[in-house]
Amino acid sequence: MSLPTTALDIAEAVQTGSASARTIIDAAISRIEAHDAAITAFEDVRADQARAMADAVDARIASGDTNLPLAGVPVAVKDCIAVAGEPMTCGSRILEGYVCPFSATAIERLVNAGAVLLGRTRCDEFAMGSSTEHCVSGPVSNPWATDRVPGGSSGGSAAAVAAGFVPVALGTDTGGSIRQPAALCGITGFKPSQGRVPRWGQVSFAPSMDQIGPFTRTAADAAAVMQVISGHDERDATSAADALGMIDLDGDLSGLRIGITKEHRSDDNHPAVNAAVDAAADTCRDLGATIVDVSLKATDLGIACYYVIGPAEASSNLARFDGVRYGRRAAGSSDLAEMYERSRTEGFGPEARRRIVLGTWVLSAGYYDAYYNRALKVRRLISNEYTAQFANVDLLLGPTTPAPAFRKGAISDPVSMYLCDRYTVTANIAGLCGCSIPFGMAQDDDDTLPVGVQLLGPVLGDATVLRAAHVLQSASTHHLAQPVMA
Amino acid sequence: MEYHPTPMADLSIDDVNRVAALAKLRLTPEEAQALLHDLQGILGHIDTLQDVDVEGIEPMASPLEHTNRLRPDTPQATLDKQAILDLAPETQGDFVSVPRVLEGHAE
Repeated sequence: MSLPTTALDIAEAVQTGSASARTIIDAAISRIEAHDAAITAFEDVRADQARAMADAVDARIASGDTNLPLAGVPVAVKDCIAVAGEPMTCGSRILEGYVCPFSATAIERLVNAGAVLLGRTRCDEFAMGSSTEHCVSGPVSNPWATDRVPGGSSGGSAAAVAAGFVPVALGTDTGGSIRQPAALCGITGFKPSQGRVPRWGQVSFAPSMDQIGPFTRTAADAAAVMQVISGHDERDATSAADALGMIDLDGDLSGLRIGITKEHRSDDNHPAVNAAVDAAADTCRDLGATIVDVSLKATDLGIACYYVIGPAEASSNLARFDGVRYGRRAAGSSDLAEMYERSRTEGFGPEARRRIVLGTWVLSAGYYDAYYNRALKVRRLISNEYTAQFANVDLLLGPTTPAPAFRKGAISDPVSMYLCDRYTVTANIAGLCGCSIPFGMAQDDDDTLPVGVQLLGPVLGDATVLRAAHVLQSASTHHLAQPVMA
Repeated sequence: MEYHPTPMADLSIDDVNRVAALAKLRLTPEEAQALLHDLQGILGHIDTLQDVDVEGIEPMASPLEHTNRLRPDTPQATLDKQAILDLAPETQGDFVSVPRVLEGHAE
């Protein structure tokens, strides 16, 4: 008998007793053992603990617990989200030896809902990157072509779902780090509105833009995970007060107005990317939506704005890694100042250092007004432009990335790497929610690679985005394509 | 005294080293040179912000712009003291220990 593969099917099978959580997790562990050597999505697979968690879920089912919406669903966790008792490195040497003393809110909620935590996934150091090549323990391979990147920074989580290791993985998205790897790996990735998922237990990179969100095969699974992990937590005063509520996934798209951003349908994009957007727009139209052209001029400023605000916040947040209270301390320093400097210099990799120096720069005397404060004003212009558009349309549709997955090592220039995120960063700048779903394939040399499209919604418009993504998937088959694993 | 910051285009190795020192990072000459090159590229792109008319626009530090939301001021469980000490690279009794802070004040 073949086992269910989506989170919703697994939960139903475990709830009704047609499969045990233990059977599901054993199958996931076997698949990882067979195939992850070629992908290296996982930093750590904790098979024994996962089996014990699965047994506990089976015991809760046997005792009549019916409040387990994610019963037996294996979940992989990006290595910058805290799980009590587990190591967490953020892909950095500076957190060598660190063991989390508490769990993130999202993790607590997943476990309460019956999910089984299977292990940690690799990411770019402190979630800074678009390729998962900046991870101290090594890069991750794209399951569609192992000489290519999975995207980043949540590349390990995206690859783990794309490879069929787990139906759900958590990632974090500060400038596209869920949606971009989801697009490059051919899966569904959802970035919630700012504040939707409490950031308690998520290592802060740029808190005004950081959000935890799910990678899944289907939008229906993403919605199921969001029902569990969203909602206010007083430990994060910036988490949204109003609840997400039950998401009604049924129906078509009639009555919805969907805008296509002209500036994002660019000749600079890979032709298959524009074709995917056109195909998605046609499908939306067939499903009853009204498609309108929109213009978002300020989005061209997104990357410039992001690379002031993000590094500024990062330089401040990463100041806490100083070798004093936790993490790795450089040995043999003669005084405190030398210890700080050596611990940080030995601990941070090149991309983290670049952003810390850049952030320190734009916040320093003489540059604050010219750069940081100016970027915050441009942020408002971008936000205002979205607000104006969302008075006219319910959703925006466009490409997630300009091109499909690139080869490892192909982009070494930082600015070129940053520009990979040009269609995703503005959602973080303005606090919007967004979902990337696969909508076609691209041919690049000898490789056939997935292409994603992105649905963006207004702040706290998460339910509409997830419903539209689900309706699109109900009327198409792109999300069913899977890579052939060696 | 008026302070005149270096224009971005005229960044020097000394600027890179000065800012790295502010961030408690120490760079080798090769690293400083590579970082200078990267920063010139990044700042060249960021400089497009200088052309934007932001007259009269209020800065937006967060998309949320909540007003303060207070929780009830009631005692709650915190992490165990030993759990926190266990995270520290070096401890002495109930304290986290560090190398000496001031010249002449040996431990």
